[in-house]
Amino acid sequence: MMERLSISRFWRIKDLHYTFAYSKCKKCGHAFYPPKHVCPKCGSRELELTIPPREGELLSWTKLYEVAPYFENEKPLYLGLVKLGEVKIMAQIVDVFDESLLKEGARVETVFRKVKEDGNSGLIYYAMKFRLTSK
Amino acid sequence: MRIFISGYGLVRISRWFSDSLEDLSFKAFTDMESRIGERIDADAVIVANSLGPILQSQNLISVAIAEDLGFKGRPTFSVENGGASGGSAVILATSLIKAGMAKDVLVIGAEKTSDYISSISNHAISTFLNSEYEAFYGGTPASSFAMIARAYLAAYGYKEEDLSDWPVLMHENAVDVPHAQLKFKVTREQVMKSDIISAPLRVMHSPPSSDGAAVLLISGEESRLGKDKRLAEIKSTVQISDIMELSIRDSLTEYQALHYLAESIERSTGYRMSEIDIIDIPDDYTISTPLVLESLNISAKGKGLEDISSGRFRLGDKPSVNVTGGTKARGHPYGATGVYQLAELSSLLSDNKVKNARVQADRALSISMGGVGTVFTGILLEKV
Repeated sequence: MMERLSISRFWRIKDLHYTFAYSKCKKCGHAFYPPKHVCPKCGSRELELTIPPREGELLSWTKLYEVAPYFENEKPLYLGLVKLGEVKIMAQIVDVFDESLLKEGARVETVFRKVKEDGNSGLIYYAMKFRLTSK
Repeated sequence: MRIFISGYGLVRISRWFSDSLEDLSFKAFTDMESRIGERIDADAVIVANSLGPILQSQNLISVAIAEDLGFKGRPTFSVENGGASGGSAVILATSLIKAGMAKDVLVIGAEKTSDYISSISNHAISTFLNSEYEAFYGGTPASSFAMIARAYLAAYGYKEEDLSDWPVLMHENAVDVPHAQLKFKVTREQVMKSDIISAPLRVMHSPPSSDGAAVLLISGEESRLGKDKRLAEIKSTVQISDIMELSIRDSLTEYQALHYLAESIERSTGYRMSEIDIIDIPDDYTISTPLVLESLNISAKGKGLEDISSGRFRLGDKPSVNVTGGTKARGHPYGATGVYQLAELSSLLSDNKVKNARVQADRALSISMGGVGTVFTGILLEKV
């Protein structure tokens, strides 16, 4: 019942997790992440992948203590919903040294980090996360 | 065609370490037979279960449970829709009857979440989110509800302690409910001092780890049972999906699918939400309560928590909400919860045996939710 890491499952989504590439609808302009085959706003199938800017603003966040097995060594986890340009994306927030800085509107940037690993000799998943900007 | 709930059976929600899904289902089924006073047959068996393929490593759950209960050679269906599995199973049952495929359908809701330590259960319920995106990053329903809660509190100027009145009311409501899991009162101070599970949400906003099973007999007008067995009539059913990912939703502070659900019930029955006596809603992690009440137009936008604190929704108010304790105190065996909700409401409209306090009601609405506002069912019952 515990999830095992899989080469093929991760390989097919790695571009999303490495770049936060999102869908932009050519018909109505709606931008959304993660990408889908059909625009949830207008139903169009004419979508293009777009790379978001590296900086954005925090919309909401939480500090999660009750986690799944792969995250036991890292808990508590900070998770945030972030607006990057025209698209909203949820991911972990890392390098939180002063929690009082986590507030709606705080500036954040993307950073490439490890997400989970399958023991000492198994697969390692990497992906984009967020951290507060130093500016 | 008229469709009725003609029987219900319940197991007390708890952590049943010695009982399997089949054991709990059999106990709920025989409880229903005892209440009806005869052996029960059915043309089809539907099992609502959400986590069995993960936590019990069992697929084909409807066959496994039907076989254990002695039903062979019947149509069986396993329904998985997270916390809306039970409501979805009842809607499927009504469809089978309307299609002429069955006169009586047995609906069983069964779930066990206590077989493993909490981190394994956290993994299981994280599958209610997008597993290759939100859960990939470690997200769980608690973290998603927490981000909704933070956005809601900020949008309407509430403080964290404003969330505390709901769990207090839910525990109070469950005290006289024999099958409820947590039958004790709590104070606002206890809520605020309980551990944080995902800030700003605390242990006392979250459902307990619950095992349980409940059954319903859904019958058409050609039922094997006499008309005197009818407990409640199913007047309207709605099921509607919404967007799974928080990042794709227009708003964090409402469940847009519920606007349609309320309109659909009002259109099909002529009853407005304000004319319903009792409503049982998904109050997951407390924050769902104001979102559901506001999205159904029972509370004004942003006023849900204020209405709760002012004393609305208690037993005797119209509508009374979650009079058996909600997911927080009755318990939340995910796939089975919707079946419990309808068993409770059909009892409150007939024999009133699921609560010691006297309840006066003619119409009752059950709303079930899968995921974090991802899918909903609405089922309106009326006294017969």
